[in-house]
Amino acid sequence: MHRGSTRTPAGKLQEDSHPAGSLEGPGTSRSTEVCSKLCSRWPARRDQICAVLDVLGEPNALMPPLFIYGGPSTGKTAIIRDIFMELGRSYGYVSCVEYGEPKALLQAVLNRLKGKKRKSADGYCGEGRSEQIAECLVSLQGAAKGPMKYIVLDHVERIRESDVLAVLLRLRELTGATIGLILISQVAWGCNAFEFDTQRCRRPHLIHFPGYKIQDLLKILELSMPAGTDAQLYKQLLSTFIGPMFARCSSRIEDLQRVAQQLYPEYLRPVREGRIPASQRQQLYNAFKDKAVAAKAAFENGLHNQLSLGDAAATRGGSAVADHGLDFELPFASKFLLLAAYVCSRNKPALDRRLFDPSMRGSRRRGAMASDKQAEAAAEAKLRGPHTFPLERLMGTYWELLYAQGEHQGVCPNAEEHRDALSADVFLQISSLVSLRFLSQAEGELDEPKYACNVSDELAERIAKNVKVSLKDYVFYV
Amino acid sequence: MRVGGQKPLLRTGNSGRRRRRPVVSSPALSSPSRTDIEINFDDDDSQSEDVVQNSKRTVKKLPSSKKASAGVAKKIPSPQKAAQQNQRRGAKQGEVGTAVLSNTNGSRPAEQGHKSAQADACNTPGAMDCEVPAIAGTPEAAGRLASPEALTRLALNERSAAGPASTSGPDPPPLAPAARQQAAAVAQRLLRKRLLDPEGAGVVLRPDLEAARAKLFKQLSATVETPGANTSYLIIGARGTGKTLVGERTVAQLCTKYNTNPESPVVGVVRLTGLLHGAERVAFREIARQLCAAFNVTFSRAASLADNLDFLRDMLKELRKGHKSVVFVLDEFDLFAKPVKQTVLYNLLDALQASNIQAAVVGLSARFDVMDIMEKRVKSRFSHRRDVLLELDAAACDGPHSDVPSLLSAMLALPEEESGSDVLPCAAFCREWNASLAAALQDGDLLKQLRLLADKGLATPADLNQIALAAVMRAGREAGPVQLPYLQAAVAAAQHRSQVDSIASLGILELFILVAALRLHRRGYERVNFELLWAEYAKTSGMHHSDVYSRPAAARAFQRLLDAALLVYVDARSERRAGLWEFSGVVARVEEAEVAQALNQHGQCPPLLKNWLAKDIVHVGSYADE
Repeated sequence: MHRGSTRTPAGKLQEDSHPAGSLEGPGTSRSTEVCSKLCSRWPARRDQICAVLDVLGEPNALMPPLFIYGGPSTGKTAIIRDIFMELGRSYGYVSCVEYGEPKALLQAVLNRLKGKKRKSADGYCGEGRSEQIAECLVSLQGAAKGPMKYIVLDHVERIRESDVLAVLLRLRELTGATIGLILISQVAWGCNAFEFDTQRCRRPHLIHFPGYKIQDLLKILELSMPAGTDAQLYKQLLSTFIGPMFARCSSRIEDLQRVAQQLYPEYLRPVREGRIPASQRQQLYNAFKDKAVAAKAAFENGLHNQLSLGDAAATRGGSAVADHGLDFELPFASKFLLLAAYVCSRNKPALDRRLFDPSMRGSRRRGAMASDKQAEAAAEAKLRGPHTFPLERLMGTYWELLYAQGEHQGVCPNAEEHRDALSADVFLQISSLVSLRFLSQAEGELDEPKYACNVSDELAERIAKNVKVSLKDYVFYV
Repeated sequence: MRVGGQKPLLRTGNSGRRRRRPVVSSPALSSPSRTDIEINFDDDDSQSEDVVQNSKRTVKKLPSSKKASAGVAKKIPSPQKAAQQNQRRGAKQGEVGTAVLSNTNGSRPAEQGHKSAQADACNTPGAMDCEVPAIAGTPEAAGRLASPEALTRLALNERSAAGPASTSGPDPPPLAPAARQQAAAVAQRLLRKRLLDPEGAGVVLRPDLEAARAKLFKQLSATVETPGANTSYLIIGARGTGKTLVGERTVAQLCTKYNTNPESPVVGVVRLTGLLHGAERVAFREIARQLCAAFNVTFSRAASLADNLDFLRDMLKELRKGHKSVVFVLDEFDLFAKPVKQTVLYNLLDALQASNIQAAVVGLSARFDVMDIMEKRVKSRFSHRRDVLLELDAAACDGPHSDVPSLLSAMLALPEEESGSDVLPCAAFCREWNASLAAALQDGDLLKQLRLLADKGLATPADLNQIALAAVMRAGREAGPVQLPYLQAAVAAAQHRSQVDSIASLGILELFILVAALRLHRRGYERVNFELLWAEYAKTSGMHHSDVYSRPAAARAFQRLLDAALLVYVDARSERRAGLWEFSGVVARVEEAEVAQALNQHGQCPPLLKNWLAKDIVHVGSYADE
């Protein structure tokens, strides 16, 4: 039922950070007590906590489906869990990341409602599997009678386009089950992805968790200060550097926490070594400024690794081994095929003749304005990205490149003769490049397949260097 | 229906197809040894003939049913059965005799009582000259709820009555905190139940819905009472107008009227929704399951589609012999008409054509062209009876609950009659609540907001329900009555655009990228990619501002925008495909106005960014580094 997470909940403070302020009069009920306790634990979240408590209401009160949205690291999940903990009500937690399929998701909800635990003995399959959503609902009907049961559904944005969401939001109407549904999403409800198919989804009750303001972030960081640090200096570091420089490009608390803790010893060093007294703020600032700027650049770049994009970039580009070398092996012809594909995908087809037909060269005269215009168009085409090309064009470019190379270096003087004999080999290599994902087959008719080239500029440059082709002579875009 | 031996036996030696077929123990059909379900039917012989002459049926009915019931009394001396027969005959007589009364199931005294109460209210000195229209045909609890004028009047009466008697001040004596808490808790429970119940739990229907309900009820009770009057009925209305409410109310009323004996119900209700049961296999299994549950027959999960289809027809036939009928309620009716062959609809409606069953199909749909998308063979079997529920008319003030504020007050008002029980909060609290509610609904500002909401089309009854619910939940915090600020907050939330919130909590760099996308769209790019966005953003580096970030940071911001669904891939497969992500096309799914609003909300938005969004060309010198 609980996610085994190592993530620190966003914005969580120590219990003793604020004395539980008694804001209400002497006759405070239990719910206001709970509210003030929670508010003291989660700064800048008072409105949200109160709103959630209002919706939950008294024990066993019916509630409409609740939809909580807000960016990452705004404390959505953590606060909801804490609220339930504080109220002493049990809930089932289902993450839509784990259960992508509607059926599996409903089954998971069902298992939570029945309180079944998956065991290794029955292969972690939980309660009997049902085949259809409708059947799941029938058994749900049986499972959720009587006292209110709560289900927290995290990462709802993952299922925003499936109609299981519409079913879940109508659970009460369809089954009469007494289930309190709490949906947590990073995507706002107003985003049209949620209101699909003529609004079959009924709008739930919305509560927004806004991103923390920088001063709130600093407050949270201040309170999660590691033991044994000089509070004064740490605060100084936060307000002079972390706030204006780092918090502006990332508001993830865990990132900021890490960077603050890494920077702190460095910031402290002049004081510890006795060069600058701790009271001299300006001097400390000057001494640390350059380091902070360098750290900021690393922070920005380092964040990049946390993305899913990061892995893709690593596999695609490869890490640079040497200036002229590739860190992976490819057949010679494959390298030329890749270069040819790169040229084809970047250049407009009309350019081919000008490039490869010697009789065309220099036949056109152009004015100064025209060349400006062309440069502009080339820059534009470069930004717009590669386009697809037919197989024939790829083959033509491939042979042209090979000839040019052969003439230049004398590698394959009789390439013309090899041409027909080799073509089967070349086709084979094309298909292997496709399976390596360097090329991908794009849309196109059966008899004229089209390909797209997935080679980035820098990789193309490296391959060109490797086979000693000067790409500059071939890639003009327009 | 009495099921033989408490539980129908499954025949073992037979093929699966005929397994669950209910067989009647009539002398003509089978021997007792082959019996699965034994149904005691009474007047089968006399009624199975006269299905064709529908017009004469009602006239012929009375003697025939009398004869039949006499026969039954001789056959089975069961007092229950006889009572049921009597009751049914009484209902029939009532319908034949006084056709006017057909839709009021014994709600006459209540209505009269209500009328007299209203008359009283009008006679009191505090009453104003505005007229309260009579609520026609409202069932129980009609007297409790009224329009805001009536509520204020009640409040005024209360004050004038209480003034000299109890305390000198205009306010009633405050409740003790503990009692107040308890009353508030009870009120919360009551209102939450009312607002969250699909059946509306006692809310008075507005005249449109009431008329629709009466019509539907008339049709359905005709089906239940007279054999051969099978009907299909379609309720069409925009989302949130109360189709489900009408359907559920009618069905519930039908059940309370006819299912007097819980052991053997006369009306069985099968509820299907197009969201789940659009596929035939699922639908017929669900029908079989619900029929079995309604009439105490064991349901076999292993039955195939053909089994279930057979079962449906046989079951309907058998039920008809016992004078029992089935009402099929199909929610999201248009989804049943979506599959190519529309098998579910076809089979259901085709079954209705048979003379020897007694059933009705009620469809609820939000599509006004649902008749046109039905197949020809389905359409020709459909009875073309339909009712269109209109949306709330913002300008209408004639009906008791037909305009927005009075509907809200009907949703929120607490009954004042009984007090102190477990279900109803004490009267003092109710009065306080209602007075506060009436005062809130008099507020000009709130009324203007509600009017605005109605003009935007955001004030359907379902939306109002949400507003009311939000106000109730908010009122639960202080354990006090509902107040004006709560309602105002709820109305504001109803028209709040949550997209703006999520934009306003983005980081600076993310905002820059988003604005860059909007600028590119404005310049005529239908789709943009990361390279284009980065190039656009890089142009601002010459503007001397402090938010210059590296390319990887921008890539991260780009990914974050994709996560927040503010930028969306043109081709949904781009995410998974091994392409160059920098070049895969995205579009911004936000409007410029939303972003502008969000930038104003954003605490740390640099002025340069606002200008960058507003103008194509930004003069560099004037915005240098804030």
